[in-house]
Amino acid sequence: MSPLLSRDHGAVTLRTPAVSGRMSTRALVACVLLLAATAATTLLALMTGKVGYSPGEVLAALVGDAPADVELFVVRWRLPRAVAAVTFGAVLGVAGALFQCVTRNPLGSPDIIGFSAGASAGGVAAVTLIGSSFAVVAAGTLIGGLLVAALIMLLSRGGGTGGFRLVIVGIGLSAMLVSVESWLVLTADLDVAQVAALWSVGTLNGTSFTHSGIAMALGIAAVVAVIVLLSRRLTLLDLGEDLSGALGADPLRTRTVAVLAGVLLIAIVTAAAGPIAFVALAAPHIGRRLAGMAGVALVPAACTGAFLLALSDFVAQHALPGRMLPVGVVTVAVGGLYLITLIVRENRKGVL
Amino acid sequence: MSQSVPEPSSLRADRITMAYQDRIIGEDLSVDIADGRFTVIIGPNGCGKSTLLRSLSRLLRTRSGTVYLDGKDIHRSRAQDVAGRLGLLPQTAIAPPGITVFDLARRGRYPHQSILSRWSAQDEAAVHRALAQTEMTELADRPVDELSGGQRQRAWVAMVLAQESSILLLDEPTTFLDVAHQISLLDLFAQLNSDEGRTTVAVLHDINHAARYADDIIVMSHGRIVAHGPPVDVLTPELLAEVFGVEAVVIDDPVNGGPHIITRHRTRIPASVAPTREEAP
Ligand SMILES: Nc1ncnc2c1ncn2[C@@H]1O[C@H](COP(=O)(O)OP(=O)(O)O)[C@@H](O)[C@H]1O
Ligand SMILES: [Mg+2]
Repeated sequence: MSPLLSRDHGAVTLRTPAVSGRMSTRALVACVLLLAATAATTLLALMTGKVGYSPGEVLAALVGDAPADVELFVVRWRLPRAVAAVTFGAVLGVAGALFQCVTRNPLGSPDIIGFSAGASAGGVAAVTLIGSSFAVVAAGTLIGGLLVAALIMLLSRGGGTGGFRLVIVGIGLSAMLVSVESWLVLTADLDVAQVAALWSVGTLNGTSFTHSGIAMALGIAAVVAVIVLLSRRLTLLDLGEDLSGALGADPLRTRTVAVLAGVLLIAIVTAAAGPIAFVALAAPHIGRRLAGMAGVALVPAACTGAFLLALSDFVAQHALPGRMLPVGVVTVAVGGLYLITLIVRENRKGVL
Repeated sequence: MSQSVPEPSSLRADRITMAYQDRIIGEDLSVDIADGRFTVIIGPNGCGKSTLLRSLSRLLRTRSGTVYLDGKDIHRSRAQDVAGRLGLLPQTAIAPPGITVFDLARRGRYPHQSILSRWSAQDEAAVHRALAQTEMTELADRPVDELSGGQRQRAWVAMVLAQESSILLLDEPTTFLDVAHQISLLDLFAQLNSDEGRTTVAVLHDINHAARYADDIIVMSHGRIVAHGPPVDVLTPELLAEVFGVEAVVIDDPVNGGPHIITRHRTRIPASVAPTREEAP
């Protein structure tokens, strides 16, 4: 009689005849704490605003048990934005973890290697040249991301997909894409340009379920699918190409699927909220360190991403009294600092 | 240890041509890996030993010819099925920073797992057995990068043993180890081979280790197999001179029996490692 749940070697094992899994206790605790912190931040976000509510009032509103005005503020206005922050944060965290695993480089995040810039330029092109409906922008970001993915694969060929070369190529590409974006915005009609410019900072202002609901649902589905279908294969990629292949997971296929999934994840978020920088860079590292895991760690990356973006958006809304900042401004400010410390550390290790 | 590996299986290459892009490494190469025996591959650097192991384990698609596993073209089998029958410890394996011995060994279970079954009772038992066999149980929770070279190599062996494949291909498992650790690892392979009948193929550099441990020796040179058979038949002064460019006498090993090689002096450096003309005096 083996118990359903058991513990050994610092890990918790779940085992039924059909389903079994194992997670280190530390990783489990870290993820639970991150989720609790995310929930607390979300509750705070729902409570805070022009009109403040108590936790009790918020919870009552969530279960449909509050006066109409409370429900209007909490459920109709604040909830979509709070849910978007959590889901998009998780999506960005997982996307970052995918790219970092494939590139074998802590700097191999979509922000650095140009996928985000590609998605962003694609989105701006869609907004300025066609229109700003979700489908159009989504198509634009996806195509932009895929084009950059193809270009990067091409340009960094020979140097291996890992390492410094990819990062350098990506930085160059990002710079070019930013200038394309500026040019698109400058040559567009004023009102269109304003929409595009605001979008291109990355913002959750004015998020609604009608506009971004699809992106949230897709994002959650994609994150779950990636975690369930890809995480084991990715842990093999961490052991090197030959060993991955010898254990039965073709490394080329793993890489290709991971890159496509990563581009899709980035496109989903970017289409709905614009390019939100640095969450994809920072979340995987922070998550892995908190969880004490070696190599790729998708679940901690998702939990950390959710927390980071929820917190950043709370700050964006309330840092300046009477003025909402785009969340992208906050993540760039915080993420920039993170990037500098990361580069200094990697440099010291001699990785770069 | 009552647990035995699955049925013995046969692995053979039939007139294969091995190549990387346009570069042909070996042509028209045929070899039968004897079931249940300990085969050691020797040959100068760059002669294609790793390439042969990669071809035999489905990692490298052969240009022509066929590798058969259990009588079936290895490329017609699913990668995961092949991995359940045949394990490879490559030279290029990377341990992610901070990974523990237990976690590393655990990853060897991939071929036996599925999306839902990620840590079955069999997985757990196989990992514990592999750690016990490699004497790594005590060190299971230690990070691999904090271990000594010999212990680290044992952690990798535990990973490939956890795979529970009936065929084991080991690419230079003893390189970079001091002689005591080399011997203890080779003793382990020999024991696994004789106790469980696990077909074992190892690339080794030390010819005397090959002579002492191998049931069969495969000698490679310039992408060809120049000799294949029991050490006494294969390790002749003529062959050592031809392949390694060393003049040697072969005596009876006074301790373990079998042939023992004593090199006299170098006659010439084999072409694959010869200095270019500019460097030569
Ligand atoms: N991925 C590769 N691409 C191109 N050539 C390779 C590759 N791997 C090995 N080679 C070449 O193939 C030859 C045989 O290599 P290898 O099988 O590794 O030799 P060995 O293991 O006997 O030292 C060498 O000349 C090597 O340079
Ligand atoms: Mg080799």
